[in-house]
Amino acid sequence: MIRGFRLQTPGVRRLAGYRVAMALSAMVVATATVAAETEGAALVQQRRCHGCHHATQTLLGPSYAAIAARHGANRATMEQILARKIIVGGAGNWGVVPMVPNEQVSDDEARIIAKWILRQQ
Amino acid sequence: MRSVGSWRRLAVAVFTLAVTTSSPADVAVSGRVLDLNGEPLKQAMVTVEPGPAKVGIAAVTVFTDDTGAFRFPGTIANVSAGKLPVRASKLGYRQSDVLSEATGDGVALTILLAPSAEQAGIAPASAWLRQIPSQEDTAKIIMNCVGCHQTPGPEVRHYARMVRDVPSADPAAVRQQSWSAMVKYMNFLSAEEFGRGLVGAAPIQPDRVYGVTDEDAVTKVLAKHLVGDFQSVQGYAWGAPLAVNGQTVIREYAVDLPNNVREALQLGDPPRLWAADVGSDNIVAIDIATGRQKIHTIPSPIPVGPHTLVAGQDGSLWVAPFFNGVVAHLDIAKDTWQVWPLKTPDGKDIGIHDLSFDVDHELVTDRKGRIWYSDITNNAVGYFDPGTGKAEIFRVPEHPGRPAQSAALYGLAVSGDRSRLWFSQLGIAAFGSFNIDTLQFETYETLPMLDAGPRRMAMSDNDILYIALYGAGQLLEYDTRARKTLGIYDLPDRASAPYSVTWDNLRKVAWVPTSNANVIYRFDPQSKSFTVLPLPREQGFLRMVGVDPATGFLATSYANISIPVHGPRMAVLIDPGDGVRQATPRGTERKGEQR
Repeated sequence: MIRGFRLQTPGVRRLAGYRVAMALSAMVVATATVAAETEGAALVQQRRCHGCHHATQTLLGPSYAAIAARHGANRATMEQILARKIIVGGAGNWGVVPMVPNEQVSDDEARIIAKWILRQQ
Repeated sequence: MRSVGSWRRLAVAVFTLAVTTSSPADVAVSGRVLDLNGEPLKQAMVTVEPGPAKVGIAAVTVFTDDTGAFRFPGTIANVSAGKLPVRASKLGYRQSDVLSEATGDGVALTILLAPSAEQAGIAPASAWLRQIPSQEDTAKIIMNCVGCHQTPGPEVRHYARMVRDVPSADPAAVRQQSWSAMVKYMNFLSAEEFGRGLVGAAPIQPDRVYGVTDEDAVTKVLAKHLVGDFQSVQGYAWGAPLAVNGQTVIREYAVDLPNNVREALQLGDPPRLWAADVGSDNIVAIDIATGRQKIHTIPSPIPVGPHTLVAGQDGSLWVAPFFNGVVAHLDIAKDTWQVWPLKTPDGKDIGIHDLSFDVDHELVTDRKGRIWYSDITNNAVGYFDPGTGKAEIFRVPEHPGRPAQSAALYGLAVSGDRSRLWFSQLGIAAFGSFNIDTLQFETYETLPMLDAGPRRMAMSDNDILYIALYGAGQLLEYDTRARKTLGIYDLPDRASAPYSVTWDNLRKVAWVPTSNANVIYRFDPQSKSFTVLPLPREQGFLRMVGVDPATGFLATSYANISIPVHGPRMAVLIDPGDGVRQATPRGTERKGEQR
């Protein structure tokens, strides 16, 4: 395979199950958090979010830090809304340029990415 | 312009029809297509698509004859749960009803079509694009966007609607900002996609080939023309008579995802379609009769990304790569590979695009046994010796007045006496010749429109060079012996984006597959006229057409670039239904001293 050509779908379901099991132990919760952080960061790359978004700078879209700063206080609700926005795209919150839809991103992946973004304060 | 967004397929409604058999069975299917007055409709397209196939024969399509009658060859295998998914379409009509009647071994259908001005879902993406009055603007969109995806395909139309729906007192400013952002995003995707080919070497400059270099100009054209809701299109016509009849059959073969099918051709006994998956190192062999598939992986030390396929004169398969220097050869009878990872004598990378082929589109060497290629990365032609692996390239001199940074050498064709290579330069609307004996560039021609887009070429048996002009929507006919242009012919749809041209040495015609119009044009050099072979699939992004000499069948592919683009990635086999074929299968014909 040519490097970086195929979008690799990570074992999201397997990872989610892994995290539930690990939540039984505080020590392993910490491990899971690290895993989620790694997973979120990897997905952002694999799903090409970095074409428009940067950690701290405004590119074509807002920075992850700006999104987290605006919505961090309402994390539970915004996780769902952000996850949906990632898939269907749209404009209205950050200017007039509509974000492209990303139908190739699964619901599970979008949720992981949304969670990760909201932690980037 | 590709967007990766959701979109709603406005496909022809699929009528799921209950037939008399209640359990899965092999069903013979025939019938007639009539208008609402009961008058027969000729050259209507009728497709049976049993279901979303992952692998195998996805759909079979036939056309009605002069009496409106159609018949599918053989039987439709294993129609599930007694349902027969059939659809009929014809420009200017909508499917109204399907009536069925049991016959001895299957079902006879009467499909009714009602007149309809609305053509969304039937007309191709080019139906929208051709409404642009300026061919310069159309060409700019084709050259910068259609190279990777149909425009405006469903994703683009969806994004255009999103842009239109942004509340603003200044919609023009919203369009400008939004399409500017989209162009930048597409350049990002393109750079990721096309910058990956060379491993352990300096990356190529993707802007030289497929990036949008003039972002402002492209943004301006998109913002100017991609206005409206793109829900409706009317008034599209094929622009020339259809080249189909009651014997025409189109078979579409699904290849398991993920794949990035590029080109496909027919080879072997039993006959198989060989499809290059540029996203892997795989060639997929598809049994034409059964749809069964076998993957042949190229044993290369570095990733290949198989892109260009050329049949050997002995019935073998030659594979050229995607922006690197690996050439591979498969003896399909013995299932053995030979691989040449090529570099220039001074260690430079080569970006091979086309291999030298003859009038039958079979691999041809020069008189010293060397195989020639176009080098898209170095804007050069080059050769390699399959015996020694020695390779060399010859860069085309810069041409005054044409931007050097856009000069990528793209298509290739060889004169009948194998003394000269002809080449095209996609980005600077130029073509020319190279003398293989003297190793000098000779002829150099430029086209007036910078976005004319000369792509893949073919040479006829009379040394007439045909060049598909992607942006201009034309076919160029050039006499290489007299060194003069015989004609530049407008295609029936100038927004169709002709990717290539193939000389059909059986029929003595040229086939011109399109990326944006879901059709293959057939050009008759005698009458200088076109006919149209329509394909049955939305986003049928075509690249090459191969002609199998034994059967006269055409092999092609739906080759949408990259995973984020929706749309089919399939191998396609077409029996034009004209009965033209030759008695001698490929590999048994003697060609004198050609190799």
